Amino acid sequence: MTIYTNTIPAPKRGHAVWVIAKKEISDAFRNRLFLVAMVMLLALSLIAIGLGSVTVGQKMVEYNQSVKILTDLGRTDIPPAPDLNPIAVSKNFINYLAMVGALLAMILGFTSIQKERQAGTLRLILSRPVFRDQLLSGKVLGNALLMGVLLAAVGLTTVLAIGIVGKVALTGDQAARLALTILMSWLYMLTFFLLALFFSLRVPKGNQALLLTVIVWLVAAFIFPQIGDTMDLDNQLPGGFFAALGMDKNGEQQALQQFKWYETVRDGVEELSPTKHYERISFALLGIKQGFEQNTWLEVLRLKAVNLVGLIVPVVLLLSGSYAVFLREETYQV
Amino acid sequence: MALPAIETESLTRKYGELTAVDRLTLTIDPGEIFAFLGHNGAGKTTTISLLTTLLLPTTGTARVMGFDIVKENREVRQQIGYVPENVRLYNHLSVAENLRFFGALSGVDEISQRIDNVLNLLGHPEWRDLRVGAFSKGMRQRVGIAQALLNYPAVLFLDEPASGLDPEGQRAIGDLIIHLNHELGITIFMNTHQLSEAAKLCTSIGIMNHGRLVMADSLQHVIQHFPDTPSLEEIYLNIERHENGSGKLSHVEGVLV
Repeated sequence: MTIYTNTIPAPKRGHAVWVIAKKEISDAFRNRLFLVAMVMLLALSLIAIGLGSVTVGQKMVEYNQSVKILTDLGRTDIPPAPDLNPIAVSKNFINYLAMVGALLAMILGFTSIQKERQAGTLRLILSRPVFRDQLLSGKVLGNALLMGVLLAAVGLTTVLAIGIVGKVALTGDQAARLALTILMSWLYMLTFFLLALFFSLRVPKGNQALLLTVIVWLVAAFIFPQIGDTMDLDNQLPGGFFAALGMDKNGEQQALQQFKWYETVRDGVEELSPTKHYERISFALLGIKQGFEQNTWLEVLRLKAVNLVGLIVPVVLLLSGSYAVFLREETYQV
Repeated sequence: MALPAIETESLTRKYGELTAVDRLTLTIDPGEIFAFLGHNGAGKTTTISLLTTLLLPTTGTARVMGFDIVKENREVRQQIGYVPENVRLYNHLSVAENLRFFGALSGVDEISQRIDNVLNLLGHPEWRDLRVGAFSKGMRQRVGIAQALLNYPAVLFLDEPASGLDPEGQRAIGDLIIHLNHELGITIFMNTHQLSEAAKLCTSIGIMNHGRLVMADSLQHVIQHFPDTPSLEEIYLNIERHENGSGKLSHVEGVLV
């Protein structure tokens, strides 16, 4: 009898990561819940971007008509083109992504582990030349790529819609701002993907893991910002507290100096929310938030560094936490 | 002389205070069909988990096809195939999709061709595009063996391969094990409760009791040592009785108590 000996060399470490990542992507497209959330997000985003681009296009048509009338009249003092800030068409996309995007990311994070738990396939996978860190890396990579491609598609659609429907070409700075907004959106989605992944790994029962994820999401995405808004002195009266007192912006700033500790606490509560960080930096990048219109994309990043850190820190913490939980030897049953 | 297929030296695994595998020293030659017998909780599955590198030993060493299970665990995994007691696959995928995924993890080239080969070996090429979710336990068990064969393993670990199967299913699995060993030369290490199955298939046996190996020898020697005992079942029960009671078997060659 011939004695069998395996001569296939062990694959490189990155090989298994890529195989698992590819499976994550193909599995996502078999997940009905994910597909529904993705279609909802894309539909909302495309409608918002489309309508915004139509508005930009109408303003450009009006401007061009004015220019034509003035030129026909022989006037030479043609007014400059209006500052339309075409990338502001993504404003509603930010609002939708803050909610539907987070939900979509949580679906991916939760099912990523839950499907292995339900199928009981982890033991079989780990009997292959695959190690726990590679398995988790593959899952994170696959889902991160999926979310990245989804967001890149939205970004590309925005550029095309602005160009084709709005008939406006983006400047280099505007394109960079839009690309950075997409990057911030990816970090934001990654936060909630990792939140669901972490709880799925940490809590053995799927329904408890899901419940915890949703509770943390509600607190981080809605309750903290709501507390911040409620505590905002200017929100105490309709139309603005300071405006009601007849104060201008300077007066408002001076008055707030008297309540510095209060403002610090209020701001601190808001900064516990990744959603708030995401909105603040994205609105600044898109030029929706006043005061950043004249800055370059790099200056906006510097001015909003706190918010950038506020998006990166949860990603790092949740990723480290997920690895720490999963790499414990005895959790091979998941 | 060929290296042992499996060699353990005082292999021990503890879970807190509980010693699941206690100083296991064992040698299995290439080409053998080794049956690991023992009651529930005897430490058989923990031993397989250690040898397949799913668990780390507390103390002791083990080598599979010459590779250390701790220091060279990637190489060990490349040399083995593993079929758990309850084969769990992705129900939403077809047999071929499941096999493609597990084969890809092992870096198997020309995977489609290999999938056809293993399904032909099983005698069920028609299963290729069927969804695993609709399969019976016996069918899953065979797909589990197919996935374990994808990477041309030198050693196949089977944890209770015929457990819960009807007689027909048990016979099909038994025939497959014999074929894999006789025709392909694959060393088989299997945990089993089925003493009749062990008597029919194996070339050597080991008996575990409370984490300790109480006997390991060729089937032929075991039967010779107990001439008055009619079946392997009786031998097994005798050994267990003596191990758990006051009887001594240490005068018998191969008995390690």
